[in-house]
Amino acid sequence: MAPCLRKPWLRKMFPHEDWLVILLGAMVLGLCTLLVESKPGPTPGEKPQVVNYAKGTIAKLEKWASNPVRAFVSEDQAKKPYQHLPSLAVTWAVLGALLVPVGLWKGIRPLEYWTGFLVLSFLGTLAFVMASQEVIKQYNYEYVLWALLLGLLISNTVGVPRAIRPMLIGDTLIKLGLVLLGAEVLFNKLVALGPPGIFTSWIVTPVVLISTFWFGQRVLKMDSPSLNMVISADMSVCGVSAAIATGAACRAKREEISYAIGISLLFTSLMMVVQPQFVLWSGMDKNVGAAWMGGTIDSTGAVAAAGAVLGKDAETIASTVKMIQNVLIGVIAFAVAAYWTMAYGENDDQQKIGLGEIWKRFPKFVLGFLAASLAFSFLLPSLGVSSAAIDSITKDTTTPLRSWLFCLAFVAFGLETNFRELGKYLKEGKPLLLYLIGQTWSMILSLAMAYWMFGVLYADRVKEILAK
Amino acid sequence: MRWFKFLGGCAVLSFVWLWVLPRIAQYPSVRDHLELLERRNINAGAMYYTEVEEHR
Repeated sequence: MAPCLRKPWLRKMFPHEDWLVILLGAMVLGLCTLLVESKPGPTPGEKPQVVNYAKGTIAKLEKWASNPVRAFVSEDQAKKPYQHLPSLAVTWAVLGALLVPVGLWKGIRPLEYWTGFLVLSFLGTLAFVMASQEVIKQYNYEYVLWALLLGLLISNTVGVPRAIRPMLIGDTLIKLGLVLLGAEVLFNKLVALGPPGIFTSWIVTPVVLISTFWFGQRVLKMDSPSLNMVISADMSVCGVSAAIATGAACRAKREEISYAIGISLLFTSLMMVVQPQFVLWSGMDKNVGAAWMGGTIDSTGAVAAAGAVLGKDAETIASTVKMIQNVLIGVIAFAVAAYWTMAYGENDDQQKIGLGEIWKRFPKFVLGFLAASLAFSFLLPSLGVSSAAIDSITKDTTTPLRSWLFCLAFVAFGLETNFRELGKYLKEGKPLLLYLIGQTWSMILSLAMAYWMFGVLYADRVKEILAK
Repeated sequence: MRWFKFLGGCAVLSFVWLWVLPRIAQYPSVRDHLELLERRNINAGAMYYTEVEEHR
């Protein structure tokens, strides 16, 4: 029998897994920051050039039409076939090395660790290839859906081999991915459109979230508060990323997160086609229509695609409103974690709990998520790191790495999920009804606020901003 | 039976991705939208704003 890898010292150092996740996330973010250098421009007065030494190391697959092999070939260097394969190998190596401490902490044997990791990585790569098909991409069916599907296909047909079961660590991968996501939640993005953007995103969104959750609990009497919260958040904030962040914050079951993501992506693909056509058909002011779409269509990419149908300005407004809404994810995840800690502890007694108990129950990884957001929003700029350098850190390294972590997490979720468990939610009408009612409510409120802000109060100001 | 189901699932996925979707992409309305996204450099599959080129 292979020797067990578990080292007691690691568990002693990190009694709670979340602390290890935060440390790993901090190390990745720190290293990615150190690998970026700002060099003076070629001539005096020119903007400094940003050099990212890690650029291109984490694989991002290409869009393809009919030949999936094209996912591995960049059009820029078409003469050199399969040039994404080296970065794919590096990505697997980086992920494999990054997750070793997690494997040690969980006491996973080396053979099980590497076998499981390779299976997850292979299926994750396949999910990215499926998501890169141009029609799939066009309708915003994100990789997480295909990662889940591949996992489900295996677990519900041939079954999951015992050797890889210890590596089904989806929850840990999600937490680590969320700490990296924190670096993308930049508070300076809030002022991109001034007051109209903030009002449309930051007033309507929390109102819709809280009222939909309340409706689900009090009127629909949803069986699972965590499913109610995940659906309310993904519908009102920003789709998949919000579902993942709030799902982890309120410790939702993997089937609940998967279900919420499934209905969100389904309705996103419908809304991104229907909503811009409705704006055109109704003769609505395009700026108002764009802000409305930015506030209501769940997924970020879908918002940009829907806005593009209305024109360049509309695309800018729609995606900027969505970006401002995206930033809300940090505050929402923290608020949900805090609320859940107090309202839905492990012991659902109605007794008041002390600060010590609150701290014990609080999902600590949320602190890492928030700390990363604050560091990249305020600390790094104060230390002289330019916004171009921060953009490069996230765009070229942390964002693709975070995507891989989420992808592997959803492969693991699929491999752990039985169709029957997921089917339970499909049969029950309440979650779908909650989504539909919440989305309708969101559309009404967002339209009213978009009209008031972009059509009445700040109509001229918005036109001035766009003209610049 | 389990392997039959698995291989059947793989066959369905391959058929959809390698035959159905490439044909859907040829419809004029779908093609137009794809070209619009290509021209504007829009990543319609973005999960978060950092994956949208415009916000970089």
